[in-house]
Amino acid sequence: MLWHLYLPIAGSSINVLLIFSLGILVGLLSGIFGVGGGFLMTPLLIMIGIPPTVAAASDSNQIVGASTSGTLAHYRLGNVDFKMGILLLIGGVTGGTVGVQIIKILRAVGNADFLIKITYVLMLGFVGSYMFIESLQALRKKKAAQEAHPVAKESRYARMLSKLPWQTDFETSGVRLSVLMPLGLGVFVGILAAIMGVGGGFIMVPVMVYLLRMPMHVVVGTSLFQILFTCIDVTIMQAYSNHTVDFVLALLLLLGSTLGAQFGAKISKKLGGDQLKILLASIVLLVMVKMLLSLLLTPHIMVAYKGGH
Amino acid sequence: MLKKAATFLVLSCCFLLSQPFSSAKGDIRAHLTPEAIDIGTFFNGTEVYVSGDVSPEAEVVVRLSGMRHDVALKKKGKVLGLLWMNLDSITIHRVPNLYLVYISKNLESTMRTEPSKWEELGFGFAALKKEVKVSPAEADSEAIFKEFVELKKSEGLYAIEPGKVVYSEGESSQKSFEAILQIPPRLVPGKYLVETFAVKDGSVESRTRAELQVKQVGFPAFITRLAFKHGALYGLLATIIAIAAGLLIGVIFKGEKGAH
Repeated sequence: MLWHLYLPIAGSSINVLLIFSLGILVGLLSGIFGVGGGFLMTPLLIMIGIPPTVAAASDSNQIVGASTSGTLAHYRLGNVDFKMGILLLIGGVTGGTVGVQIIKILRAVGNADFLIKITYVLMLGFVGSYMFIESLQALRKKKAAQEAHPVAKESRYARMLSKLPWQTDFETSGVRLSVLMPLGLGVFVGILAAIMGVGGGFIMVPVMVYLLRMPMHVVVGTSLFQILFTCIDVTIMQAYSNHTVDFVLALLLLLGSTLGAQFGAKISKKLGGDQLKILLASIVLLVMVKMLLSLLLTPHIMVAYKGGH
Repeated sequence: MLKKAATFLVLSCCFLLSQPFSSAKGDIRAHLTPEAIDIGTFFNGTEVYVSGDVSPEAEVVVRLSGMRHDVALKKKGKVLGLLWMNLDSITIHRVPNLYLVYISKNLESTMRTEPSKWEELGFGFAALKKEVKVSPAEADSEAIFKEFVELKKSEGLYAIEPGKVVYSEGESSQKSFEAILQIPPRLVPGKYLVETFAVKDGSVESRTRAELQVKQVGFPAFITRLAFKHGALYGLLATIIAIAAGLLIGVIFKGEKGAH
């Protein structure tokens, strides 16, 4: 028997089991890597016939559930740095507001879509390659000399960090940093996320790992904590101003993704930090290649509905 | 099966009742079952059964079309001679959101062998093109409309269905026809139009039209009302339920963890 449900806001009916499995898949990713999974889920939903705006908005509703579940699981494992998370969040909201204004200006000037897509491909390519190469090297080194962390050379970056005012301890992450760092980087990621129209998890994770030097496990938990608040904000705003949140769709996705997030958190704990990074880097690179192909190959139909991002 | 039998019974009654009004050559009469569609929680498309009778020499076309509205599109083009992007904005004015045309086998052969004669009848996409306007005016409207039709076809919302109107021996001098309209699951509530046409000697001799009301009922109707009338409350509820679901699953998993 085929299980179908009608989605009132999307204006179409879908297979319940298909949506449920999609939810589990994205929940797993979210629990393992601390990303929202919007960059994966939204295109999948569009592929099965959900209008782009409804897909994006309902997805953020779903992420609220998955990240609640994931944050809770990671909190129990001692992986959430609340202090760092809240600072990043404050920066992120500020950056997001600025980013929305930048997009408005770009749209008025001209070809914003072009810029967005190019930013996307370049960001994904850069972040993915860097993570991939770095963690591959780290894995090899570890094999050569057990746990010989490259703390020895005090880089210019580290010296600069220590000179910033308002230094404070982040106990959960085990780092000492200026309050300005998470705030500033939060703004940066917020701007990028707004321009690219994504939650920003997959930019935030590398930023926390490489620029804030937090341990990978704490990064995943803290990233989820922060994504939770971003998506609450997005869901309410979209529901209020655009009426694009399909609650039936979100609920079906939720059932899968909250489950997936729990398993994901457990898998995350079992994998080593470098393995996690290589896996995430591979996924990011894969999405980049897919995006690049869609830019290079001649499209099947030469027009598209306006309104996606 | 039972539904069809019941339909047939209803139709036969209608047929008998309307018998005294049978009139001039080429006249067409048609009947819809059901006359309205309710979209409930488990709606996954449906069928509408159209039947009637027509003079023996005529061919029948059944057309289901949706509300007319303006559609905003992006035209794809190359940037830097390499990258495909959504570029110019284009609007197609007054296009139906649904356009399904059911024709008989004989008309299908007309469509194949004499396309110009078929288009003159006014049921094809080329005929539809004449009814809509593309802006901006300098856009290549022919090519764009063709691509738009392809887009709609890929969604199952536009189609010409040949051989889907079938005939049978009717009462007295008339012949009976029937068509089963496949209503797609991707259906927006509103007023739809079902028209039947009797075609003879390359022109439409007579026609009927009936409205098909599509509305959401039950749970979908409730959700839509809440989402559009009380957006903020709806968004708030959606997030609260999402958080509650996340917490609930978390608590269930903690219990499981305690066990081992």
